[in-house]
Amino acid sequence: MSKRDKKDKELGELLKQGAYDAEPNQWFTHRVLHKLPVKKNNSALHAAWFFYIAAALICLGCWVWLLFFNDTSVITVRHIIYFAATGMTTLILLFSSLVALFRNE
Amino acid sequence: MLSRVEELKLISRCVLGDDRAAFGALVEAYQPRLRRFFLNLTLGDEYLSDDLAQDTFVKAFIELRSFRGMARFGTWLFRIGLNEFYSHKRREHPTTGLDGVDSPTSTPIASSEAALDVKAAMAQLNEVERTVVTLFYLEDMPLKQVAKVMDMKETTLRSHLHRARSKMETILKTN
Repeated sequence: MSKRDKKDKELGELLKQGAYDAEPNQWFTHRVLHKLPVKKNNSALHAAWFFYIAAALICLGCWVWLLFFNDTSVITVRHIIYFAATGMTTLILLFSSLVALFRNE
Repeated sequence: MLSRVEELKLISRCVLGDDRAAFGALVEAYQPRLRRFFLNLTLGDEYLSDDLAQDTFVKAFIELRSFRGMARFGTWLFRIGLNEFYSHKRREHPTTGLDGVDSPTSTPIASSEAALDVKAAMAQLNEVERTVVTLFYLEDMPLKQVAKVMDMKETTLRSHLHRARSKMETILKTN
């Protein structure tokens, strides 16, 4: 019965003539739009992402300075502290941005 | 009637930019069909039909991100609408099954005897049969699409359709 036979077409025509039909309602769309959830204010989210990106760039800058503008032929305690601090900051930044991303989803 | 490309453009605007005007355009395009669908399911209850239609659109807006675009938006929308209708029936009659015969909630005001016969014939169908008849005959949906809306196998649908057709033919011939 996937294709309509003659009986199906006749019954369809009869039903269309006699079945219920919706009167035009000019206020329907307006009422639906009023029932929608309140629009999210995304400016706070955009600001948060701006600071995440800025922090990521600063982090990247610190890594570049550490790796390319420091004499790492002799590792000192200062180098270890710098690496540890930069590494921790990078991990915290990655973790918090992932949390913020999934929270927003 | 919106083309598939126009629909997808509007949906993208809604999802990416929370564009309410774009969603309004989708509502305008689909509201006559959806309201007519509910009117025939509820046997002419205008207030209930409009409430169900509004709730369907609101739910569709909330779940718009989950729309994959594999089927037409209309198919997806009618599926949500049908689920809303069944949820409403379960809230009203928690112990009655959906295959039970439903008595009309309002008396149809027919403009002709033929219209009255059609409405009386529809009232004799159970909800599943009435849904199939409404989607297949009134909305001119191919059986494959009806199967997606109702989440049923085509073979099951064909038997519901055959039973509904026999019932309606008997009533319409008698009258």
